[in-house]
Amino acid sequence: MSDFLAIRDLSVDFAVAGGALHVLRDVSLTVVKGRIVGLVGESGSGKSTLALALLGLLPGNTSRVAGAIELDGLNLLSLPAEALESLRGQRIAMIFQDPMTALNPVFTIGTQLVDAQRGKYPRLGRQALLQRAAEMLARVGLSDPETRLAAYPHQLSGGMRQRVMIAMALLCEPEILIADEATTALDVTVEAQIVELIRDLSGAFDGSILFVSHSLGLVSELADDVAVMYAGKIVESGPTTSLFDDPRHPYTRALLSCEIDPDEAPGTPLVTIKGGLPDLVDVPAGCIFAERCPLRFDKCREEPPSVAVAPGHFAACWRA
Amino acid sequence: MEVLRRVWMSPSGRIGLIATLLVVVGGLAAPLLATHLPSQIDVAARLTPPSSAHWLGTDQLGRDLYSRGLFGTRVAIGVALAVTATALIVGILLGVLAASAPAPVERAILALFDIISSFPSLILALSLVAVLGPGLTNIVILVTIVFVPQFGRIARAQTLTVRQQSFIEAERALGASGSRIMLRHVLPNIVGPIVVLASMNIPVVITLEAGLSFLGVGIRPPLASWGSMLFDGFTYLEQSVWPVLVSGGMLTVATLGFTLFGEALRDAIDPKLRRGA
Amino acid sequence: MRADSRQVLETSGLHVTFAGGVQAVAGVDLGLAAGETVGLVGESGSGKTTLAKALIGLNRPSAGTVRLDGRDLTALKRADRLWLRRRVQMIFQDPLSSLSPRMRIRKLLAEPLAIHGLDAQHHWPHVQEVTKRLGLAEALLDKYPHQISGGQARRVAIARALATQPTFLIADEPTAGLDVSVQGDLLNLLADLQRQYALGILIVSHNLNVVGRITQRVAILYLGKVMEEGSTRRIFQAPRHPYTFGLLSANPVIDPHRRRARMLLRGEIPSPRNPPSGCRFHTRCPRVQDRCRVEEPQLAGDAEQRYACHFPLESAT
Repeated sequence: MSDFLAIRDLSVDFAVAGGALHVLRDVSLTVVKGRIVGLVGESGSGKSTLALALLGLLPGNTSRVAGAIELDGLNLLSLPAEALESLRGQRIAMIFQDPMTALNPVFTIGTQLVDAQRGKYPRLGRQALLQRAAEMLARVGLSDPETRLAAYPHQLSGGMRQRVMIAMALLCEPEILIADEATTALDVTVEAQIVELIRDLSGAFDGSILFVSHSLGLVSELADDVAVMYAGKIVESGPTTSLFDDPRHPYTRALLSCEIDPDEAPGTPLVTIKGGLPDLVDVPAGCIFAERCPLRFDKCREEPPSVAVAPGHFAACWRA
Repeated sequence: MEVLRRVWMSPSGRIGLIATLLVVVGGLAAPLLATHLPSQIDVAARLTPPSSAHWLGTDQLGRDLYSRGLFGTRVAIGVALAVTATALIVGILLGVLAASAPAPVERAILALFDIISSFPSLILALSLVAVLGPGLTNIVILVTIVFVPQFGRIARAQTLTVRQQSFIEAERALGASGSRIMLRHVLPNIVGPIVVLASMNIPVVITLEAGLSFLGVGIRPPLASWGSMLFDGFTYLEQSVWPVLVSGGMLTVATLGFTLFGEALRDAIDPKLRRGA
Repeated sequence: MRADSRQVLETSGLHVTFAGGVQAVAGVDLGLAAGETVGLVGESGSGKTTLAKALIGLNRPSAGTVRLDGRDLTALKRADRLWLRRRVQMIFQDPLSSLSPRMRIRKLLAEPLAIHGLDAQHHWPHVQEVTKRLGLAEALLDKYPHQISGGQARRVAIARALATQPTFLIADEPTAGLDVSVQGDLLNLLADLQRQYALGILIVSHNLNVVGRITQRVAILYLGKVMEEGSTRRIFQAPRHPYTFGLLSANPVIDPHRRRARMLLRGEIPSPRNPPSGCRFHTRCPRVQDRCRVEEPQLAGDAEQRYACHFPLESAT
């Protein structure tokens, strides 16, 4: 197994009225080839910013990017814009939350799938590209691909559109596939189908998948490795079984205890995490979760190192 | 106040605001600021250039151009405000009615709007003058008719949009009556964009009034109007350029000022309406 | 099934048909008693929100009735409709956009009293008690909706709904868009309010974890019809309808030891414009037989669990 995608000490600031919002701070994450990595966190954790940074699509008010994102030894952060552009869609592809807005409403599915391949296969003609598109649609579980190619996005249901997005992402055989809340807008039965599809495809696909989600349940079912983010930091990461069997960071534990336990007697109050997200403009010193942590002690005023608690399983906590 | 501050922050908004204030104050305080009566004839001093007696010169009848221009401002602003305010109110009423009334009423109102706006505004105004005859009151009435449809259409579209929003449904769920929803929840949310449109409409009215007066079918003498001053000026252009310069200059300052102010106001109130943003 | 002394909000044979012939709700009998929490579960297009809105009179039934304490709501005069609205209140899915944007919070909170002609002096203390109970600071009352957070807007919407001291509260997707670390707050709050004011709460949701945990009874809706209904515990432990089972097994579970044998449903919910013949679920049902395509199953079973299926799953007992 090799470190295929390595994010090293990535920091990203957004310019806001009150100064700089430190959205990501010293984030390090390695994605091993052929594995599904789940990136889980609540709103404000920075997980979507991390996904956008990988694609080089950070918003216009980004004021600082530091660290490195290495894909097979190539630092994406030092690449010129054109090189990054040709990388997107070809080596790194993304599936968005809302397939309706990610697809262009005035072109047919076929045209959009053909255009998506042009950069990678400039020599192939439209017919050949349509043929590849039809095969891919069949692979992502769309019946009657020829008809779908002639359809416009609004003629397909939400689940079908998400399958089209996945097909589009896979057509260029990317090495990294990023799915950012790709099933959040779907109904639970369709979500289960898409998750199953991603799992099935990952077997035949030799790249890696970064599955960004707020749902611990989904990530636990799909991912091989998991990274838990909180307020711009990765607080715990490791193999899925190790992390969910034996969570070592108090935030991970707190988050798991907030999940509704169906066997608990009705009427028992639900668990919550008291307090709110820390100020990311004037970031407090020390552990980022200290303010809300039940295990806090003096040492938490210093930033905890990421310690190995099991093979490949790290937690950034003094008590880990 | 916050809105005015934002208008002031933009360079063109500042110019617009100053010009608008100048024109409005000049019009309001015309009797105080004028050095002569606007229709005071002085045959001895016809078509003179600026002097200490006549600051901006005189016209073909020896009337003081500075004083006449000030009173012309009064007419221009008065007509513009009266027309815009009436068109605004009538337009909102008709637009809201169209949005809430049964389909036949709605269709009738929309058809009326279509008929009015299918004529070029100057042609429509001219033909209405032919029916009603010239004069200040008639000018106000007919120019109002010309401008009602644009306010009415916006009011209707805004009403339809606002009524789709979920807070309207929430109010209905609370038990609010139709009239309460209309008065307290729909109207306050539609006036913003319409008032902005109204402020941008003022220079258009000023130009239209001046145009009608220039053609001799608008404001009648002895009342002063920039349009009729401009026409008289053209007749005697070979003898003096001052009448044209004064009336044309004032017309330019007023329309440019109101336009810049209106645009800045629109940007300040609703950044989403900003062009290209 | 319920003590008769309690107030009841119920539908019988309720149909709601929209222009264009879309049968959003196609014959639903549903009851909600004061003091109980009922879940209404379904995918988008199941008609659950349409049904909820029919309960507060925002959608008119095309057939069937909605009754509150035995009085038919569609037959009510305007003054009586106000009586209904005082007793049945709703919180909407997107709390922020359900607040009129040009009113301050204080005015928004006072509005229900004005609408119902309730004396402000007499009733305002109750509103204040509710706002305090919801943890809304006094300073917040002078702000406009766009100046407060989503969580605060949610609380304001709840306070508004409770201002007229209703008996029934309908909550449309109350936890939609909430992080897990805070959704518990809202659900605990609803449970407290229910105890304090003896509310009957209808939770409309697609979140099975939430419904499974906080409701006593549940109805599973599919294309405007009830597929299965009854005690939440019974149904979640041993669903008889294949659709219920499919929904439950699609719900992700963290603990690998608890993952049940799965039954992945194929396809998506068909358009309510043209619902399938026979059993509406037959196009996606893994247990479909010829009979399902032609004959529509009726709800059957006991008071604890009723299901509309010709070939139900095995009972747990």
